[in-house]
Amino acid sequence: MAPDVHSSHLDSSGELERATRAQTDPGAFARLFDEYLPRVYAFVARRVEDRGAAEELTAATLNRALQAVRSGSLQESSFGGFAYRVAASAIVDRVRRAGRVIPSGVRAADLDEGNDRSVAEAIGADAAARAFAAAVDRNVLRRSFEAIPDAHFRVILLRYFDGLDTREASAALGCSHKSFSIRLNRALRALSSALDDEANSAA
Amino acid sequence: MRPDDLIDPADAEPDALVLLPVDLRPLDAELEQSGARARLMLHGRTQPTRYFVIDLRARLLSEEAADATAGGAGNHMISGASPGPREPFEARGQPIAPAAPTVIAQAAAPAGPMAFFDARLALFVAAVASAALILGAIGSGVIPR
Repeated sequence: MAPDVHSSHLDSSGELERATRAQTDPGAFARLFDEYLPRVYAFVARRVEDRGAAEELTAATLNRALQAVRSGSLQESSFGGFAYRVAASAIVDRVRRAGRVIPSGVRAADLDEGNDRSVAEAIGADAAARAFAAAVDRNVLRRSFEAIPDAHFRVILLRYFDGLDTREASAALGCSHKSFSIRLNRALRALSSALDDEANSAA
Repeated sequence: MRPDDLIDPADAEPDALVLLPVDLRPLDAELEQSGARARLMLHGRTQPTRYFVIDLRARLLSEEAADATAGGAGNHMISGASPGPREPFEARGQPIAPAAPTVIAQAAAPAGPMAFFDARLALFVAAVASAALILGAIGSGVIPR
C-alpha cells in the first residue's frame, strides 16, 4: 500500500458503486478498508497526538462507516466524506468526554448534543494548526493565520493541511459543495487582507 | 464585495462550485505547497502501525464475514420455505383418544429420581434433624423452658 503523503484526495468515480458492492462482496469490503484506513488515520493523527487515541478513534470511525455500508444506509455521495465527518465528530466527542481543552474558536455550548453541524465544524484542533504553521515558509503568512477568524482557519486547514477536496471537506463540515467553496473563497480573501495588513505594518 | 455576492442563491445549485478569483491563486498555490510539506513532515506520525492495520482489518472483516454468513443463511431459509401450497394436516381433525400419549406427555421426561427431588429430601431431613436437636436441648435443660 503506497503511502499517500501529498494528498488525501479520493477517486470519486464509482465510489458509491464500490460501497454498494461492498454490501455483499467481502473482497470489495476489504478493498474499501485498505483504501480508507490510512487516510482516516492520518486525518485523526494530525489532530490527536496520542497514538493510542488516534487508533481508537480510527477504529470507531471505520467501524461506523463500514456498518453504514453494510446496512445500505450510506446517505453521502462520498464514502470518504462520510468517514471524515464521523472522524471529525469522534475527535470532538473525545475532547468533550475527556474534559480537556475545547478546540480554539469553539464554544462549549456548540458541542451540545444535537448540534451536529457545530460539532463537525469544531475540528480545527490546535495540534493541526501548529503543524500547518510550522510548514509555512513565510513568517508573515504564519503571523497572518493568527489574524483571521478561527472559522476561516478551519476551512484552510481542511483544504490545504488535510488536502481534502471540495466533496470531502464539505461532507466533513456538513455543508454543500457550493457552501464550502464560498467559505474557502472568504477564508482566502481574509488571509490575503491580513497579509496586506502585515506587509503595511512592517513597512 | 465577497465572491459569493455575485451568485443568486435561488438559482445556484448546492453542488455548484465557486471559482477562485485570479488574485487569490498565488496564495492558493502557496498554501497547497505548505500543506503538502506539512503532510510530509508528519508522515511518520500519521502512519498507522502494521499491527494496528492487521488487527483492525481482521476484526472488521470477520464481522463482515459473520454478517454475510448470517444474512446468507437467512436468505436461504426464506427462499427455501414452502415452495407450494401446504397440504392440510389430517391429524388436526381427529379426536384424541384418552389413552393416547399427547405431545406434552411425549415431551415430558420419564419419571425417575431427579436432582430437585433429592434437594427437597435433604431439606426435609435437615429440618427434622434441627427440630430433634432443639427438642433434645430443651429436654436436657440446655435451653431453659
